[in-house]
Amino acid sequence: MSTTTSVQTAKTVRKDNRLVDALNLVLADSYALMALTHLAHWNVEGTGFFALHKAFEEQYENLFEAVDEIAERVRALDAYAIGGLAKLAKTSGLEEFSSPMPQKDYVAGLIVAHEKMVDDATRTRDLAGEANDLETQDLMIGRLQWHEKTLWMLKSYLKH
Amino acid sequence: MARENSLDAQELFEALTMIAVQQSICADACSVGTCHPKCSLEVVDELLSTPGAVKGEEVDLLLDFRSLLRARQDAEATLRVFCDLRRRLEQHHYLAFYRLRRWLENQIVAEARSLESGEIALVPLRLNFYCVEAVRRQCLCAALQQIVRLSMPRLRFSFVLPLQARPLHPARLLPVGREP
Repeated sequence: MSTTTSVQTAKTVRKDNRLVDALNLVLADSYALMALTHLAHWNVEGTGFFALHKAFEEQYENLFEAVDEIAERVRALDAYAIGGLAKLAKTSGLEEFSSPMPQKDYVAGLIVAHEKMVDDATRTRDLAGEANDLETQDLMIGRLQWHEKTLWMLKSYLKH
Repeated sequence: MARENSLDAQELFEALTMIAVQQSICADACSVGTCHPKCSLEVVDELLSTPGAVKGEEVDLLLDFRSLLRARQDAEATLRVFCDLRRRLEQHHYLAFYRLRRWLENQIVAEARSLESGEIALVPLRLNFYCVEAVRRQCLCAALQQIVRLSMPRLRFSFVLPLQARPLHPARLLPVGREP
Protein backbone atom coordinates (compact mmCIF):
# COMPACT_ATOMS: atom_id res chain seq x y z
CA MET A 1 0.00 0.00 0.00
CA SER A 2 1.37 3.44 -0.88
CA THR A 3 1.94 6.17 1.70
CA THR A 4 -0.86 8.27 0.20
CA THR A 5 -3.34 5.43 0.54
CA SER A 6 -2.28 4.82 4.15
CA VAL A 7 -2.88 8.45 5.02
CA GLN A 8 -6.26 8.35 3.31
CA THR A 9 -7.23 5.21 5.22
CA ALA A 10 -6.24 6.78 8.54
CA LYS A 11 -8.33 9.86 7.72
CA THR A 12 -11.29 7.65 6.84
CA VAL A 13 -10.93 5.84 10.16
CA ARG A 14 -10.80 9.13 12.05
CA LYS A 15 -13.97 10.30 10.39
CA ASP A 16 -15.83 7.12 11.26
CA ASN A 17 -17.88 8.25 14.26
CA ARG A 18 -19.48 4.85 14.58
CA LEU A 19 -16.14 3.29 15.42
CA VAL A 20 -15.23 6.03 17.90
CA ASP A 21 -18.65 5.70 19.56
CA ALA A 22 -18.26 1.94 19.74
CA LEU A 23 -14.79 2.29 21.27
CA ASN A 24 -16.11 4.78 23.81
CA LEU A 25 -18.87 2.32 24.71
CA VAL A 26 -16.27 -0.40 25.31
CA LEU A 27 -14.35 2.13 27.41
CA ALA A 28 -17.47 2.87 29.48
CA ASP A 29 -18.27 -0.84 29.83
CA SER A 30 -14.72 -1.59 30.97
CA TYR A 31 -14.74 1.20 33.54
CA ALA A 32 -18.14 0.18 34.90
CA LEU A 33 -17.13 -3.47 35.01
CA MET A 34 -13.91 -2.52 36.82
CA ALA A 35 -15.97 -0.73 39.48
CA LEU A 36 -18.33 -3.70 39.84
CA THR A 37 -15.41 -6.12 40.13
CA HIS A 38 -13.72 -3.91 42.70
CA LEU A 39 -16.93 -3.83 44.74
CA ALA A 40 -17.16 -7.62 44.53
CA HIS A 41 -13.51 -7.85 45.62
CA TRP A 42 -14.24 -5.79 48.73
CA ASN A 43 -17.57 -7.23 49.76
CA VAL A 44 -17.54 -10.90 48.81
CA GLU A 45 -17.97 -13.22 51.81
CA GLY A 46 -18.24 -16.91 52.48
CA THR A 47 -16.44 -20.18 51.92
CA GLY A 48 -14.87 -19.20 48.60
CA PHE A 49 -13.66 -15.86 49.95
CA PHE A 50 -9.91 -16.18 49.39
CA ALA A 51 -10.18 -17.57 45.84
CA LEU A 52 -12.78 -15.00 44.75
CA HIS A 53 -11.12 -12.06 46.51
CA LYS A 54 -7.86 -12.83 44.69
CA ALA A 55 -9.52 -13.57 41.32
CA PHE A 56 -11.52 -10.32 41.44
CA GLU A 57 -8.33 -8.40 42.23
CA GLU A 58 -6.59 -9.79 39.14
CA GLN A 59 -9.63 -8.96 37.06
CA TYR A 60 -10.00 -5.32 38.11
CA GLU A 61 -6.27 -4.79 37.65
CA ASN A 62 -6.53 -6.08 34.09
CA LEU A 63 -9.51 -3.79 33.45
CA PHE A 64 -7.63 -0.80 34.88
CA GLU A 65 -4.87 -1.28 32.31
CA ALA A 66 -7.43 -1.89 29.56
CA VAL A 67 -9.32 1.38 30.05
CA ASP A 68 -6.11 3.32 29.55
CA GLU A 69 -5.30 1.44 26.34
CA ILE A 70 -8.82 1.88 24.97
CA ALA A 71 -8.96 5.60 25.84
CA GLU A 72 -5.57 6.18 24.22
CA ARG A 73 -6.76 4.38 21.08
CA VAL A 74 -9.71 6.80 20.94
CA ARG A 75 -7.23 9.68 21.10
CA ALA A 76 -5.10 8.07 18.41
CA LEU A 77 -8.16 8.19 16.17
CA ASP A 78 -8.21 11.96 16.69
CA ALA A 79 -11.31 11.80 18.88
CA TYR A 80 -11.90 12.36 22.59
CA ALA A 81 -12.40 9.71 25.24
CA ILE A 82 -15.48 10.01 27.41
CA GLY A 83 -15.04 10.21 31.17
CA GLY A 84 -16.58 11.00 34.53
CA LEU A 85 -18.22 8.38 36.69
CA ALA A 86 -21.82 9.40 35.95
CA LYS A 87 -21.22 9.63 32.20
CA LEU A 88 -19.42 6.27 32.08
CA ALA A 89 -22.12 4.54 34.15
CA LYS A 90 -24.93 5.98 32.02
CA THR A 91 -23.18 5.10 28.77
CA SER A 92 -22.43 1.53 29.74
CA GLY A 93 -25.87 0.83 31.23
CA LEU A 94 -24.46 -1.88 33.47
CA GLU A 95 -26.60 -2.23 36.56
CA GLU A 96 -24.96 -1.64 39.90
CA PHE A 97 -24.82 -4.38 42.51
CA SER A 98 -27.01 -3.95 45.57
CA SER A 99 -24.21 -5.05 47.86
CA PRO A 100 -24.10 -6.99 50.17
CA MET A 101 -25.37 -10.00 48.30
CA PRO A 102 -24.66 -13.74 48.19
CA GLN A 103 -21.24 -14.83 46.96
CA LYS A 104 -22.66 -16.55 43.89
CA ASP A 105 -24.67 -13.45 42.94
CA TYR A 106 -21.45 -11.45 42.57
CA VAL A 107 -20.13 -14.11 40.19
CA ALA A 108 -23.40 -14.33 38.24
CA GLY A 109 -23.71 -10.54 38.06
CA LEU A 110 -20.16 -10.25 36.71
CA ILE A 111 -20.91 -12.95 34.13
CA VAL A 112 -23.84 -10.91 32.82
CA ALA A 113 -21.62 -7.81 32.67
CA HIS A 114 -18.80 -9.65 30.86
CA GLU A 115 -21.34 -10.97 28.35
CA LYS A 116 -22.38 -7.40 27.53
CA MET A 117 -18.72 -6.50 27.15
CA VAL A 118 -18.19 -9.38 24.71
CA ASP A 119 -21.19 -8.24 22.72
CA ASP A 120 -20.01 -4.60 22.52
CA ALA A 121 -16.36 -5.48 21.89
CA THR A 122 -17.38 -7.88 19.09
CA ARG A 123 -19.36 -5.10 17.41
CA THR A 124 -16.38 -2.75 17.75
CA ARG A 125 -13.98 -5.37 16.36
CA ASP A 126 -16.22 -5.82 13.33
CA LEU A 127 -16.56 -2.07 12.77
CA ALA A 128 -12.78 -1.75 12.96
CA GLY A 129 -12.48 -4.54 10.39
CA GLU A 130 -14.88 -2.73 8.05
CA ALA A 131 -12.83 0.47 8.45
CA ASN A 132 -9.59 -1.45 7.84
CA ASP A 133 -8.34 -0.19 11.22
CA LEU A 134 -6.22 -3.18 12.15
CA GLU A 135 -4.82 -1.61 15.32
CA THR A 136 -8.27 -1.12 16.86
CA GLN A 137 -9.28 -4.55 15.62
CA ASP A 138 -6.22 -6.08 17.30
CA LEU A 139 -7.00 -4.24 20.54
CA MET A 140 -10.56 -5.56 20.51
CA ILE A 141 -9.43 -9.12 19.72
CA GLY A 142 -7.14 -8.98 22.75
CA ARG A 143 -9.94 -7.70 24.95
CA LEU A 144 -12.35 -10.35 23.66
CA GLN A 145 -9.87 -13.12 24.40
CA TRP A 146 -9.52 -11.93 27.97
CA HIS A 147 -13.26 -11.46 28.56
CA GLU A 148 -14.08 -14.87 27.11
CA LYS A 149 -11.42 -16.51 29.29
CA THR A 150 -12.77 -14.69 32.35
CA LEU A 151 -16.30 -15.81 31.46
CA TRP A 152 -15.13 -19.42 31.30
CA MET A 153 -13.55 -19.09 34.76
CA LEU A 154 -16.55 -17.40 36.35
CA LYS A 155 -18.99 -19.88 34.83
CA SER A 156 -16.83 -22.78 35.99
CA TYR A 157 -17.07 -21.43 39.55
CA LEU A 158 -20.87 -21.60 39.40
CA LYS A 159 -20.95 -25.18 38.10
CA HIS A 160 -22.25 -27.53 40.74
CA MET B 1 -51.56 -24.42 35.34
CA ALA B 2 -50.59 -24.95 31.73
CA ARG B 3 -52.69 -27.23 29.62
CA GLU B 4 -51.15 -29.14 26.77
CA ASN B 5 -53.01 -27.14 24.15
CA SER B 6 -51.79 -23.84 25.60
CA LEU B 7 -48.24 -24.59 24.48
CA ASP B 8 -47.28 -23.63 20.98
CA ALA B 9 -45.14 -26.58 19.89
CA GLN B 10 -43.97 -24.87 16.73
CA GLU B 11 -42.80 -21.80 18.61
CA LEU B 12 -41.04 -23.93 21.19
CA PHE B 13 -39.24 -25.81 18.43
CA GLU B 14 -38.18 -22.56 16.77
CA ALA B 15 -36.95 -21.14 20.06
CA LEU B 16 -34.93 -24.26 20.84
CA THR B 17 -33.40 -24.22 17.35
CA MET B 18 -32.47 -20.58 17.75
CA ILE B 19 -30.87 -21.22 21.13
CA ALA B 20 -28.69 -23.96 19.67
CA VAL B 21 -26.75 -21.38 17.66
CA GLN B 22 -26.74 -18.59 20.22
CA GLN B 23 -23.42 -17.86 21.91
CA SER B 24 -24.88 -16.26 24.98
CA ILE B 25 -28.30 -15.60 26.37
CA CYS B 26 -29.33 -12.16 27.45
CA ALA B 27 -26.08 -10.57 26.36
CA ASP B 28 -27.30 -7.13 27.39
CA ALA B 29 -26.84 -6.54 31.06
CA CYS B 30 -30.00 -7.07 33.08
CA SER B 31 -31.52 -3.72 33.92
CA VAL B 32 -34.90 -2.09 33.54
CA GLY B 33 -33.60 -0.17 30.55
CA THR B 34 -32.22 -3.14 28.65
CA CYS B 35 -34.48 -5.97 29.82
CA HIS B 36 -35.97 -7.65 26.79
CA PRO B 37 -39.34 -9.36 27.11
CA LYS B 38 -38.32 -12.75 25.77
CA CYS B 39 -35.16 -13.17 27.86
CA SER B 40 -36.86 -15.39 30.44
CA LEU B 41 -38.29 -17.65 27.74
CA GLU B 42 -34.81 -18.07 26.29
CA VAL B 43 -33.44 -19.10 29.67
CA VAL B 44 -36.26 -21.60 30.24
CA ASP B 45 -35.87 -23.00 26.72
CA GLU B 46 -32.16 -23.48 27.25
CA LEU B 47 -32.85 -25.42 30.45
CA LEU B 48 -35.39 -27.56 28.61
CA SER B 49 -33.09 -28.20 25.66
CA THR B 50 -29.95 -29.09 27.66
CA PRO B 51 -29.77 -32.88 27.91
CA GLY B 52 -30.08 -34.05 31.50
CA ALA B 53 -30.54 -30.55 32.91
CA VAL B 54 -34.05 -31.24 34.21
CA LYS B 55 -36.21 -34.31 34.45
CA GLY B 56 -39.59 -35.64 35.52
CA GLU B 57 -41.81 -33.32 37.49
CA GLU B 58 -39.38 -30.44 37.01
CA VAL B 59 -39.95 -30.51 33.25
CA ASP B 60 -43.69 -30.18 33.83
CA LEU B 61 -43.12 -27.30 36.22
CA LEU B 62 -40.81 -25.56 33.76
CA LEU B 63 -43.43 -25.92 31.03
CA ASP B 64 -46.05 -24.45 33.37
CA PHE B 65 -43.65 -21.61 34.14
CA ARG B 66 -43.01 -21.03 30.42
CA SER B 67 -46.71 -20.87 29.75
CA LEU B 68 -47.20 -18.30 32.52
CA LEU B 69 -44.29 -16.21 31.22
CA ARG B 70 -45.72 -16.19 27.72
CA ALA B 71 -49.16 -15.16 28.91
CA ARG B 72 -47.87 -12.37 31.23
CA GLN B 73 -51.25 -12.35 32.99
CA ASP B 74 -50.88 -13.95 36.42
CA ALA B 75 -47.81 -12.50 38.11
CA GLU B 76 -48.54 -14.14 41.47
CA ALA B 77 -48.81 -17.63 39.96
CA THR B 78 -45.66 -16.94 37.96
CA LEU B 79 -43.78 -16.08 41.14
CA ARG B 80 -45.21 -19.10 42.97
CA VAL B 81 -44.00 -21.52 40.28
CA PHE B 82 -40.70 -19.70 40.06
CA CYS B 83 -40.10 -20.08 43.79
CA ASP B 84 -40.93 -23.79 43.57
CA LEU B 85 -38.53 -24.24 40.67
CA ARG B 86 -35.87 -22.19 42.40
CA ARG B 87 -35.96 -24.39 45.49
CA ARG B 88 -35.59 -27.49 43.31
CA LEU B 89 -33.12 -26.40 40.63
CA GLU B 90 -31.11 -23.36 41.66
CA GLN B 91 -28.29 -25.35 43.23
CA HIS B 92 -27.50 -26.97 39.87
CA HIS B 93 -28.44 -24.07 37.59
CA TYR B 94 -27.46 -20.99 39.54
CA LEU B 95 -26.75 -18.72 36.55
CA ALA B 96 -30.05 -19.57 34.85
CA PHE B 97 -31.95 -18.74 38.02
CA TYR B 98 -29.97 -15.56 38.54
CA ARG B 99 -31.04 -14.46 35.03
CA LEU B 100 -34.66 -15.40 35.75
CA ARG B 101 -34.59 -13.55 39.07
CA ARG B 102 -33.23 -10.39 37.46
CA TRP B 103 -35.81 -10.65 34.67
CA LEU B 104 -38.71 -11.09 37.08
CA GLU B 105 -37.46 -8.20 39.23
CA ASN B 106 -37.47 -6.01 36.11
CA GLN B 107 -40.79 -7.21 34.76
CA ILE B 108 -43.02 -7.62 37.85
CA VAL B 109 -44.01 -4.93 40.29
CA ALA B 110 -45.88 -5.12 43.60
CA GLU B 111 -48.78 -2.75 44.13
CA ALA B 112 -49.63 -2.01 47.76
CA ARG B 113 -53.02 -0.40 48.35
CA SER B 114 -54.37 0.98 51.60
CA LEU B 115 -57.99 -0.13 51.96
CA GLU B 116 -58.67 2.78 54.28
CA SER B 117 -57.16 5.74 52.40
CA GLY B 118 -57.01 4.22 48.92
CA GLU B 119 -53.39 5.29 48.59
CA ILE B 120 -51.26 3.17 46.29
CA ALA B 121 -47.55 2.49 46.36
CA LEU B 122 -45.70 0.68 43.60
CA VAL B 123 -42.86 -1.33 45.05
CA PRO B 124 -40.07 -2.96 43.07
CA LEU B 125 -39.68 -6.66 43.48
CA ARG B 126 -36.61 -8.06 45.23
CA LEU B 127 -36.43 -11.84 45.00
CA ASN B 128 -34.24 -12.46 48.03
CA PHE B 129 -36.48 -15.22 49.34
CA TYR B 130 -37.61 -18.65 48.25
CA CYS B 131 -41.35 -18.33 48.90
CA VAL B 132 -43.95 -15.85 47.72
CA GLU B 133 -45.20 -15.02 51.21
CA ALA B 134 -41.75 -13.87 52.31
CA VAL B 135 -41.46 -11.77 49.14
CA ARG B 136 -44.90 -10.30 49.87
CA ARG B 137 -43.86 -9.40 53.41
CA GLN B 138 -40.73 -7.71 52.12
CA CYS B 139 -42.74 -5.70 49.58
CA LEU B 140 -45.18 -4.58 52.28
CA CYS B 141 -42.29 -3.38 54.44
CA ALA B 142 -40.94 -1.42 51.47
CA ALA B 143 -44.41 0.05 50.83
CA LEU B 144 -44.62 1.20 54.44
CA GLN B 145 -41.57 3.37 53.78
CA GLN B 146 -43.47 5.11 50.97
CA ILE B 147 -46.89 5.46 52.59
CA VAL B 148 -46.76 6.26 56.28
CA ARG B 149 -50.45 5.56 56.89
CA LEU B 150 -50.70 2.24 55.09
CA SER B 151 -53.47 0.71 57.15
CA MET B 152 -55.14 -2.54 56.10
CA PRO B 153 -52.78 -2.94 53.15
CA ARG B 154 -53.50 -5.25 50.25
CA LEU B 155 -50.70 -6.26 47.94
CA ARG B 156 -50.88 -7.66 44.45
CA PHE B 157 -48.19 -8.49 41.91
CA SER B 158 -48.52 -7.51 38.27
CA PHE B 159 -46.43 -7.47 35.12
CA VAL B 160 -45.17 -4.04 34.11
CA LEU B 161 -45.98 -2.78 30.64
CA PRO B 162 -43.88 -4.11 27.78
CA LEU B 163 -40.82 -1.95 27.03
CA GLN B 164 -42.39 -0.19 24.05
CA ALA B 165 -45.42 0.91 26.04
CA ARG B 166 -43.65 2.10 29.18
CA PRO B 167 -43.85 5.76 30.26
CA LEU B 168 -40.68 7.77 29.66
CA HIS B 169 -40.13 8.50 33.33
CA PRO B 170 -41.35 5.59 35.44
CA ALA B 171 -40.27 7.37 38.61
CA ARG B 172 -42.73 5.52 40.80
CA LEU B 173 -41.18 2.21 39.86
CA LEU B 174 -37.77 3.15 41.17
CA PRO B 175 -36.50 0.83 43.87
CA VAL B 176 -36.97 2.09 47.40
CA GLY B 177 -33.72 3.41 48.81
CA ARG B 178 -31.89 3.14 45.48
CA GLU B 179 -30.67 5.98 43.31
CA PRO B 180 -32.41 6.53 39.97
